[in-house]
Amino acid sequence: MSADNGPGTATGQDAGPQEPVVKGRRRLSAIWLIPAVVAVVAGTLAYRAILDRGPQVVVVFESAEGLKAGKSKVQYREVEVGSVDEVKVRDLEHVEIHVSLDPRLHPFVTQDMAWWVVRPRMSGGVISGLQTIVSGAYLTFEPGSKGKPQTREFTGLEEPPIPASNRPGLDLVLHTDEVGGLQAGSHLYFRDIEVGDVLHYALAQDGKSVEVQVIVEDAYARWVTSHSRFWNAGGVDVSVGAEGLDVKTESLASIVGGGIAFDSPAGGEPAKDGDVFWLHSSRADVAQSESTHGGLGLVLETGSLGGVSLGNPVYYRELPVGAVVSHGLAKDGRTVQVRVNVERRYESLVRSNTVFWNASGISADLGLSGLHVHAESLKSLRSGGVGFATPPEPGLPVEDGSVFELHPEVKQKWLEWQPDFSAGKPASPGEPHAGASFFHHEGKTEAQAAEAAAEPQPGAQKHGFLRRLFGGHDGSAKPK
Amino acid sequence: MSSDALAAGFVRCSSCERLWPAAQPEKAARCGRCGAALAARKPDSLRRSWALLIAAAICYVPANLLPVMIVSGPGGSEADTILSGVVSMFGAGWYGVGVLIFFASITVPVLKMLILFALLVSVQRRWAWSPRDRTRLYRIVELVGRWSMLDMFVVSVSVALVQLGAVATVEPGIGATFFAAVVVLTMFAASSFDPRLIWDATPRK
Amino acid sequence: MIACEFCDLLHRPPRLEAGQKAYCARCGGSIAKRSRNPIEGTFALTLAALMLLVLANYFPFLSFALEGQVQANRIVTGVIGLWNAGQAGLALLILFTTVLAPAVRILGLLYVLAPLAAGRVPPAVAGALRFQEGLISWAMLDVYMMAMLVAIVKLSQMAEVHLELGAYCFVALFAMLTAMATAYDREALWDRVEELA
Repeated sequence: MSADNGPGTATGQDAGPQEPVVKGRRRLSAIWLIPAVVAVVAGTLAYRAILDRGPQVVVVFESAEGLKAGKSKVQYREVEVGSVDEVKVRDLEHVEIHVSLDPRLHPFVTQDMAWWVVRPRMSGGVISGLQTIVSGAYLTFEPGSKGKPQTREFTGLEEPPIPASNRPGLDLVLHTDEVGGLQAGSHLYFRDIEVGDVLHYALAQDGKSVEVQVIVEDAYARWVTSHSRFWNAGGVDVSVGAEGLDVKTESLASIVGGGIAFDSPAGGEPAKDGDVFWLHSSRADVAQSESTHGGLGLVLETGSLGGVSLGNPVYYRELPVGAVVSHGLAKDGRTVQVRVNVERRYESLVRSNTVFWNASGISADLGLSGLHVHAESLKSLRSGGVGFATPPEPGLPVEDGSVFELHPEVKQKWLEWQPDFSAGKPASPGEPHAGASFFHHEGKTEAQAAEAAAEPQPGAQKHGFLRRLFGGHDGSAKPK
Repeated sequence: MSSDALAAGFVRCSSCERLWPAAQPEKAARCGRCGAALAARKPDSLRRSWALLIAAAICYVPANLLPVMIVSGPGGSEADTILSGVVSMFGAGWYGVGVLIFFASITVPVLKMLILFALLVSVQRRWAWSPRDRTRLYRIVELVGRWSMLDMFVVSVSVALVQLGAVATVEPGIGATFFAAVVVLTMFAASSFDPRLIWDATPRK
Repeated sequence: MIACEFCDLLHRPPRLEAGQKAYCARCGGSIAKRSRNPIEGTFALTLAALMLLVLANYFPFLSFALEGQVQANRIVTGVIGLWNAGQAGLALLILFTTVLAPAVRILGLLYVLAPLAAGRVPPAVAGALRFQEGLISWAMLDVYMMAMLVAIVKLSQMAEVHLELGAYCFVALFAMLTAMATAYDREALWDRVEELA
């Protein structure tokens, strides 16, 4: 065996012509298909993975309790639409939750998007979020409005928000003196059927009443009209009356959770989002503030409310004859409509040429006789009201729903009108308040009603009755 | 004349397989082609193999006694050693998987350590055991050794998958680290051993 | 001449055709092989392997669904879980054998093959080749695949387990690595190095 190094020895050269050495052709071997295919597949996957990525969002909370990086999800209406990537500490008070969202959410990731964590919570007597004990806390949101500017960082809400504007349904505002057992989540009833919920309540700006925001489901929204009356139906209504003890309650649910009921006497227009109504403290209260058959409902249009609020009295010569039932924007959004109700017995005071004015506040003028201070009464000075007067030649009686202008202030000459109602045409047959029902009493004017009953002539009756009523403040009747 | 390279005066470069004359006794001989340090036999082969083998054997005890995987669910947690895992698989009726795990995690490491032990002794004591067979055994040990990592990978995969909080969680136990140590140490022990020593120790007739 | 690495027997250099292997006359160990397309082919396969490595680690490989909760995790998640549980050594080892060793091998080969295919010799060829060869037995993807199967079997009694994209990429990666090992011909590489030097 030789001891030489190196690679294997070549064979000796043959004599004669040799085969030329053929070098491998520089063709693209089929092996390159493999990386080519893999490259295409990888490229497609990478392309899809990046393009399909939804918005990456950071939500800042005080605590990340319940949320875990890589595990917790984002859900919207029970559908998983994202997941928590990371949980980072921003500083001693704040935690950053980094979230990847489904690409379809892109248009909604705007400035007014609201984020909160769903975890077991109790508020207002209602326990929510129990399912998260098993499934783990998750993030949810209210989508932002599409048109607004996009943003990628949000401050999370520590408590779930009031779901007011985005729930389908009719949003209404009710004013009341006392909350009386109502809670967020208390129900709204119409003819004993649950048709909506209380969303939220808070002290009104002026501290004089409580504002309750309610929502009536779309399916029932048409039952709310401008004539609807709302009352607190929660708890138990006990009254002692001629028949004895009377216990009324809307339902068991309302005993526990509070509730509001309403009815809608005939007439009136369908209510709109944002309409304001008075919330009576009980059904009895409703009955007290209006006559049984509803009285005359009128619509007064004005530029601005100017101090008129729900429940304000409607005055005729400083006597309350009705009340403000509700107010809201007109359809065209340019004027405010104030709906008032004039009690049945006073309905005929209102004629086609009656003028209404805003009696809130004081108007004063300096005249020859000195300073005159006009106020309908101390009452309206405090809380506002509506006054009206009818010219000496009263026009035709008006129908329910008639529209009048609400003047911002009274004009002196109106206060001097002394209409002669006997000259007016008799009430049209459609109006049910001719005759006997006119003497239907609800309380205070018993004496007067009795007296009026003693005078048999309808036309003259009205006249005399009214005269007696309005002759003086003490309500004593003055014979004609 | 010896047909062995070394006897004929050649040294094989371990990385590029080129043969070089073994004449120069300088320690710093380097392969002319690839620059690797030239050595006739793997350096310190016997000593290194012994050391690594013994270390592996020491680790093997806790590897089997301590739990390798802990499964936690709402009912509590359950810690399993390699053996108890195999037993529970048999209990659940999965004989195939159970046998596989048993083989990979118990049979293979033990056999590997035993074979290496035998090889080392056979070289040092110059046993008359067929060198061809021994070389074959060595090749098998080298190839199969890595498969004893199987159970450790199963633990890793389980840990990766089952991270569902209170519902179910899998965690590794300390035994897993010891077991991994056994596998690594035996792999190094095998690669430190130079099989040519077998042939050196067997006088050719 | 060639010496057997197992028994040191000298052999005359064999004349091999593409795809043939030569074995030791005495102990039966493999001493030489010749592969088809050792440089270009291996290069192509290595590129494919690199892409698959990235895919296999980026995409989730298995998903696990229990009680309505679904977890789809990557291979790395297991490593992180092991690390967090205190088993740092084990975590590193698994990371090494399933991700790092294949990665270094792939990159090392690319480092050598790309210039060679283009006609140049990269610096430190020898070191690079040595390095990546040493890692062959440390890349344990085949063991990992078997482990995935075992884990699936074990866990599917608890919940629904599904193979995800990452798993398929992983299998493809393994196939690619095996093909690379077959196509790898050290002699041919060194011949080329010498040609170009």
